[in-house]
Amino acid sequence: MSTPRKQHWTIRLYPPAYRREYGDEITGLISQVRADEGQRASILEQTAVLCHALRLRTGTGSAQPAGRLLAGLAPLVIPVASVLSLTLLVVWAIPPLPWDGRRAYAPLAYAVWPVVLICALAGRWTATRIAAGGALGSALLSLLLASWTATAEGQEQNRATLIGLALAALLVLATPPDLPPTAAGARRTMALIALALGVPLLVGSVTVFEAASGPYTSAEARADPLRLLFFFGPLVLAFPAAMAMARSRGGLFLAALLTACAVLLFSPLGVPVEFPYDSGSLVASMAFLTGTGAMVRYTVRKNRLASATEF
Amino acid sequence: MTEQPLREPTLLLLTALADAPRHGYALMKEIEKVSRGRVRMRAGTLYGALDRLLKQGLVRVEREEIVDSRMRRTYALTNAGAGLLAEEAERLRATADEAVRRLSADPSGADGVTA
Repeated sequence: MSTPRKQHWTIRLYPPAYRREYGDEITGLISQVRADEGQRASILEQTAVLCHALRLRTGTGSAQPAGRLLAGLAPLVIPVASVLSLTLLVVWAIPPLPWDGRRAYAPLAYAVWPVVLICALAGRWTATRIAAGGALGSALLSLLLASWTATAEGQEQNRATLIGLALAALLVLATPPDLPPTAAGARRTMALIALALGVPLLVGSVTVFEAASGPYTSAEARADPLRLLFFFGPLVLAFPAAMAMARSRGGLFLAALLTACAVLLFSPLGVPVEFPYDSGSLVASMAFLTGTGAMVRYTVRKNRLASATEF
Repeated sequence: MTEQPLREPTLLLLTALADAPRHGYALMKEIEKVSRGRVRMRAGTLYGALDRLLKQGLVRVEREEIVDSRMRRTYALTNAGAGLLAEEAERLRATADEAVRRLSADPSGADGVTA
């Protein structure tokens, strides 16, 4: 009987059950790649194995509900992060008006996101992931730079946006690579969200309004891009989110959860007042509509499929 | 019928298994060949997809053997997997046929768009 051979060190990162089941097989594959294609190809395989192990450890593999949820969220998150970043870049480049308020945006964190969107719209998922890696790195670097260079106020102003963009980049990276949102439908969704959200964000952020300067002032100012995002975001995302939920396997549960959370936010907890830019009521009502819409769509779809199989 | 088109990695993997059962490394090479060198499916992506397709009942383990002191599995399509692939191939063929028909249509004909 032959002696069992040692498993590759990357295999140790897999959960024990998976390691016992597939460890030998994946080690054999890495060895074969090294023998046939050299050290560089082997290193790329090891990196892919490490990422797979991490996905299994965090429950975000494509066979798990969380992994499928990430794959469903990516086409919504990419256009939102990209158009917000593009708008912040444009706003950073134009000279501020006296009533625009303090704008301490860090352009480094925003520059990569339009590239992420372009790659995703072109259906190049590997390039999208590489760009998202760049976006994550630049967001983390910007957080460090902001904490070293900005005043406490400026740092605070940047931190939430930068953390949000870093999380969005992480979501793109964590999306299972065998469920890339590169189908025509996903790309159409991304393009429509980018347009529906990008146009009001860009136009609103560069146009001078008297009302944007705030109450009790008659001076003109530009609207804060984040304020516009919190207003237009829920309006634009409600429909595609409802459709995505209705299509997903655990969609009914998610939709019910979202509806229940929206109701809880509305009255017993009174959370809407805590939302930034007074957007709580809008967010809660759109979340309620999204959840309800998804449940209705899910039921209609189920009934249609059931009646189709009767014949 | 499938409700939505298969994602490319799934389509390539099922296609690579359509003619014969294959083990992991052979699958990687076959996917590269089927996609004409455009797609190189890495081990992490391949085993992630296999895990999902095994759970969905589209792929099964054909046999397990010890090769060079290591366990190696050979994977094959299930009937459900073969059926799904056939439906997807039919859908793609119908679209491609329609595209060819329209491209070869006489643009000066009654339905053609002329400047």
